[in-house]
Order: sequence, then structure tokens, then C-alpha cells
Amino acid sequence: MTVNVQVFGALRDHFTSPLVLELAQPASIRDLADLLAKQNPRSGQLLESCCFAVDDRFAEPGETLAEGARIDVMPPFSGG
Amino acid sequence: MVVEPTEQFELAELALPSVKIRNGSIVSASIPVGELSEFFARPECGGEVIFAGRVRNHTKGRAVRWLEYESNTTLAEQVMRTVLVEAAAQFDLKDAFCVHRVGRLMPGECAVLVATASFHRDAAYKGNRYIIDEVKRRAPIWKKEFFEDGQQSWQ
Repeated sequence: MTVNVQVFGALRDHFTSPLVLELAQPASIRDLADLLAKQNPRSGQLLESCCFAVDDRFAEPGETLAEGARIDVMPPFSGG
Repeated sequence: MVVEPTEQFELAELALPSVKIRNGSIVSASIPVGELSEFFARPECGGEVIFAGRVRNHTKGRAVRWLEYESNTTLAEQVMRTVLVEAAAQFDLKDAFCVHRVGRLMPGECAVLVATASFHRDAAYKGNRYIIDEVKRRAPIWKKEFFEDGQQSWQ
């Protein structure tokens, strides 16, 4: 299945954003993060500290993804 | 804790003389700190706290040329509005306002402004501190530092 991914902050130094990824079904957010880490091993440590959102709501790594979902991958925040 | 907006506390748009700013929003234009401070005065409130978070020209001993902020705007605004409503309920604020800027900001420019008003100063101070701390902790906003020596790093 296809999902749409946006990355933020320091992850933009590792990936183009937005990007479209193919995942085998069923797939969770964690599977998506693992795929990103596989594509770019240097991002692995940063990905471990990320949180996620699906279709504009915060989501847990174990959440199952649906076809066409839009996933935001977000490193630790540093606003203010 | 998630608190729904009430009639007493509306996350309305502020119509300042020079600009309209929606409460709890991400903006790319300069934050009019002085104008907001003036607008915020409420006759029933004896305590009013305005916090302006500004870009420092140094960090950990290194000279900073500028910062670049970016946000996941939809989520950041959701978080900011939730935090405002939480603070209003928790500290009995009569008004609360927060706006965060993104894009390139030079040293001295205001990146985030939090304003709180209450009958007495204690609530305004505590509510203001709660809002800035929670926005920093929970709102998906990032900054990249650009140093005088040409190096850059995400925070």
C-alpha cells in the first residue's frame, strides 16, 4: 500500500519531504519508521526519538496504517 | 487534561490597529509585541503578564547570526489552543493569548509571545509560565541555528 510521509526538523537533512512510500500490508507506524531507517541508516538514532501524527492527529507507533494515510514524522520539538 | 473552549474564553482573532492575529496561531510576519501589550489591557484585571521569547545572539558560547523556525502548523496550532484553554481553566485566567512565529528570525526578534490576564498577579504569572512551558514541550515547532562561523545545527 502507499502512504504519504512528511518529515520535519533535522529529519529534513536526511530525507526529501513529502515522500511517498510503499509498505506491505498490514503496516504500523513503527514499520514505516523502520523502513525510513533502512533507507537512510544515519537517521536511525533520530528516528528512535521521533513522535508521529496520522492525518493531523498525534498517533502511537503501534497504530496500523491505512492506504493513502498521511504520516508526519517529528523529531523532538524545539520551539520557543 | 483537555478542556473545551468556553464562552468565557474564546480563541478569537485579535484585530490590532496594524494587523489581525488569530489567538493560538503560527505566523510568519513580525509579532507586534508593543501593540499586543497595549491591546491586552483589561480594566477588570489587576494582573497582566506579557512574555516575549526573543532570539538570542549567542548560544553555548557561540555567536548566532539567525534562527530558522519551522512548524507542523496544523498540529502546533491545535496544541497551542489546547494549552491556552487548559491554562485559562487551571489558573482562572480572564484572558490568555499565544502566538509563535516561523521563518528566519534575527537576534532580538520575538519568536513567541504569551500574554495572560487575571484579577490578581499570581494567576497571570503562573498561567503564563504554564503556557510557554507547555507550548515548548508539546507544540511541533523546530529551530535551526545559523552561527557566525558559517555552521548550522538543528536544535
